[in-house]
Amino acid sequence: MNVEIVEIIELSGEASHIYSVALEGAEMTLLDDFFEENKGYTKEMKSLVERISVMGSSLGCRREFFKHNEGAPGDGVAVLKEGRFRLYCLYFDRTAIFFGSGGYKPEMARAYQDDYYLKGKAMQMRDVAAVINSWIKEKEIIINEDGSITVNDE
Amino acid sequence: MKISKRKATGALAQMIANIDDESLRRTKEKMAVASRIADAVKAKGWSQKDFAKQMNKSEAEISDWLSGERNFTIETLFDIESVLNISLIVKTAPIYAQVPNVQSVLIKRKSVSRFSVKPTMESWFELGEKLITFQPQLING
Repeated sequence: MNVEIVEIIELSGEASHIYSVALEGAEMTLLDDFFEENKGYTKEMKSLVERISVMGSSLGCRREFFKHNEGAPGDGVAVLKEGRFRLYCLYFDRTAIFFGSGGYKPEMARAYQDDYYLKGKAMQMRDVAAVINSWIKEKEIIINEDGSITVNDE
Repeated sequence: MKISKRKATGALAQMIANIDDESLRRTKEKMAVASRIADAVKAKGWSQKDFAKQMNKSEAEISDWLSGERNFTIETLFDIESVLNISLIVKTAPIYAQVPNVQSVLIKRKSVSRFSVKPTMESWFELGEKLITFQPQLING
């Protein structure tokens, strides 16, 4: 899987760096896609944008804001909930967060696995997390204490 | 591998552009309250499960509380304060007990609009603080 890491300028701030990823050949990031696909749910989307903005500008990506263990064991995939909406992500300390996409979790679904569409989004985030985690493990990228990313060119 | 910085596009860009300061402030306050609760739980050495037991709530509900998306009722905040021994709400004596005849002072001076009084707990606290601050001016002015 080829992905480009994109820092979202308007959402990043002093407390944390807000990233998303663009899949190979795509112009929009997965975060852009998520809001585009769900723009009809104004209240929920507005709240999510504000919460992400607050994380970037002042409070950081605190553990309690997320629901954990949403991906493969140990891969760090978490979810930001807003009502029935789930937005998948991967965060490091309080200072760096990578957003994938997500969707609406139907009331009938006990877990994301019960919904075909949401399961697809969760699996996509798993794949993205696997790529990012491998880059970190191989020291191809370093996530600094302040959440910025250094690319190892060696 | 490529890393770049760019602005949001499409609906996300539109939503970011439309964020209003007051709504953002409320969201921040909600998240800050959740964080203060989480910090207090941690300071007590409790897990979310321990806290849920103390509050007589399910773990799922506690998780919702701490996510920052919850609008707490005053009663719930009082209960949390009691269990965690922290202060989440600024408590002052009722306004009438601090500023005698405050309503008549306000009406006479036609200053009530300055305070944008809304029927919410938050704005009453705000009004109370402003009245205390402005008391000498209101009485002597």
